[in-house]
Amino acid sequence: MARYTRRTKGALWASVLAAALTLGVFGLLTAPGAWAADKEIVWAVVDDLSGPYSATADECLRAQKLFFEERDYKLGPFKVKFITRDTELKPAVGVRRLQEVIAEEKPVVVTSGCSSAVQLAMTDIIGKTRGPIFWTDGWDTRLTGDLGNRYTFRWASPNYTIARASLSAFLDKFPDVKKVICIMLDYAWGYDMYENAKAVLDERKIHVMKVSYIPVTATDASVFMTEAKQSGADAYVMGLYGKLFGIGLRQAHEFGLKSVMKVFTTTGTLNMLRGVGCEALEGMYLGDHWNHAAPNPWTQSFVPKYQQKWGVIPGDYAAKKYFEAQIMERVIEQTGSADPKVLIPALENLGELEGPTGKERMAGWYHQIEHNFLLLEGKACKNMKYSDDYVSVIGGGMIYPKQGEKGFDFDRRKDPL
Amino acid sequence: MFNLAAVLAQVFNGIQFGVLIALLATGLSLIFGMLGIINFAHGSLYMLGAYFLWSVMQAIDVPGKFWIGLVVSFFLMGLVGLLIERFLLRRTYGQPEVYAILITFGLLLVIQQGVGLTYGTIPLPLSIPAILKGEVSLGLFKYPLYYLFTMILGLAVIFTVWFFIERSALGAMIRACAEDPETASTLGIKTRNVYTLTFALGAALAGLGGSLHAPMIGGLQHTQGGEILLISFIVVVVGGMGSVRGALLAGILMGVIRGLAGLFWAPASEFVLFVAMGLILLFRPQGLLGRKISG
Repeated sequence: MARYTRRTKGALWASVLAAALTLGVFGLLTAPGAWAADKEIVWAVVDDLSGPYSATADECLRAQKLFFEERDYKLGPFKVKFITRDTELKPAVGVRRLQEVIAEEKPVVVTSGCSSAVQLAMTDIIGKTRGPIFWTDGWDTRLTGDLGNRYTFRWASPNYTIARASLSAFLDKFPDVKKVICIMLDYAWGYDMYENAKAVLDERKIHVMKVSYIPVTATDASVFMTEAKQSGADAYVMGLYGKLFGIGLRQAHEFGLKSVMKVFTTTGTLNMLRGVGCEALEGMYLGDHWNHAAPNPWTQSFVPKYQQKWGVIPGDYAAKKYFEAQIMERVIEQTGSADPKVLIPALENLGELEGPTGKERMAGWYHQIEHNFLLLEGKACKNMKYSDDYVSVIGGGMIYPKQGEKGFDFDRRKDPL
Repeated sequence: MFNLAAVLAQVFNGIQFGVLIALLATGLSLIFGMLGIINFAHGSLYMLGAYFLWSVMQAIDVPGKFWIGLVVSFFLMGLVGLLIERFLLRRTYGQPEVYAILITFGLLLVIQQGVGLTYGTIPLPLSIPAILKGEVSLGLFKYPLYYLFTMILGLAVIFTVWFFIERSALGAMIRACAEDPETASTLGIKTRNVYTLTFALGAALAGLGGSLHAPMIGGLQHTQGGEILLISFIVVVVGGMGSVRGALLAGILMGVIRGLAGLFWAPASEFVLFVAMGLILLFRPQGLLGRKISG
């Protein structure tokens, strides 16, 4: 049997080391493309997956799943790891889940939900952790205003626009409205919505007889309906969402409000309309970010494929999330990078876009995609052509904050990354 | 804004809402009073009753499907209550109370998520039957006919339950089992069957409350039931645990307080219920019609 001397052993180890180094250098030099193609990025959805807004979160998730399945979970040269976390509709939980995801998964993009309180808390964290890129669906104006940051982007219109565009269009249609009574959610979103609605009403010298704030936990709005009916107002301006949207509109119908005044609600998504039903919606006016029947190429392409995949017509949340994913795909392909420091300037410089509402634009200075916000009118049941044909588009507007206005005196592009 | 018609209308609203809550609270009170179980799943049973009504109305297309659905939902919820008591809660008798609390809390989550998975998360609309649409004039103000109907039906059901408990032979057995189950058993009363019946009745009442409330809320959602459960607990405590009349009285009282609070300070309309509960319990710890707790 051969005996290995110390010298032989040393020579053997030196050979192994040399071979390993050679292979390593050779591999690095000859396969950079393969290296990049195997690189994975994380796309995280931190949304209100349980609780009263789960239908909305479900719609957002479906749109993103559709997007990624179409692309075999690839974005540009990167493979995508798609993960989800539940905020449970609680700001503290949303923050914790976001922090966990950032620490454990290091996502390039986080998309999130619509609850303003949760979104404000999460946006604050994103600012402190300096990333990742955060697409919020909250409507609180401050999310892309003075409480925003260089990492947060939004397609959904802020309350500033929701109140101004739809309410202005409504008041243009009904110039006889001189006094209104308002009901808003007793919640961050509700206060912001009223502030913006009040600005429109004050501009037109319309008298606000009373504004009531209904608790988010309320299960009944009959108290407010009775009061409104007795008030003698020309219009009832409602800023309600979720379960209370359904309760408010249904009870407004049952208490005969439409027979004595116009009923207007600042916004209502397709899921909420489904719960209320055509009978109650008939003759009511509401705003929305998007409508599935919009006659533009983006919508005409998106709606059939979503419907084919999920068997249901998409609402505006699905449209938003799909379009946000398309925007991210565009900048990743354009830059070839998944580094937020590279992607964010690219997002800010997007300019004009063809989006869910037609011609849209990225206002890079405050990270908001500006687009038309719609005014809709509820159809009579007998006029519905299909089961989700609840409304007609009768107007809208593109009214967004101007740089320099209160709460918007900044340029995010000047903030360091 | 504060004219007589407005105030009267709010009082009427309060009574209507209070009767609806009293219907739920009656079931909860029966279960607690007779079985000593705090049923955290009561809100989910309320929600499930509404979904059963919707399912029946989708399954059949005949005139009067709402009424058929209401009756079928009531009995289906009774069956659900029977199964819950027989196969889950019966195991906790004689055990520490926390076991029953945990089981009912777990049931709340299971029923809620089960309904969400089965029916989806999109709100489901439920219409008022044609015969009950429109408003009726009550002198100074007009009131929705369906709301008036739910008030009258709710009062009739609560009265029937009270009469059954207080005046019928079976009701006497229920009261006997609640007072002294051992003695009741030695007298030949099948206490386990009585408990099953009581829980089934409580569940059926919760389901009926949910079914009646469903057309008023603009879309069924699997997460509804949480907030109404809280108000029901308040009514049970204020009325007196185990007292059907107490549940009705407290329900109406809380409903009116809530309605008038909404007129003057809307954000406090839910909060004021807790304040009222605190004040009442300060002077009557046993509740309005509950039995005095001896020292």
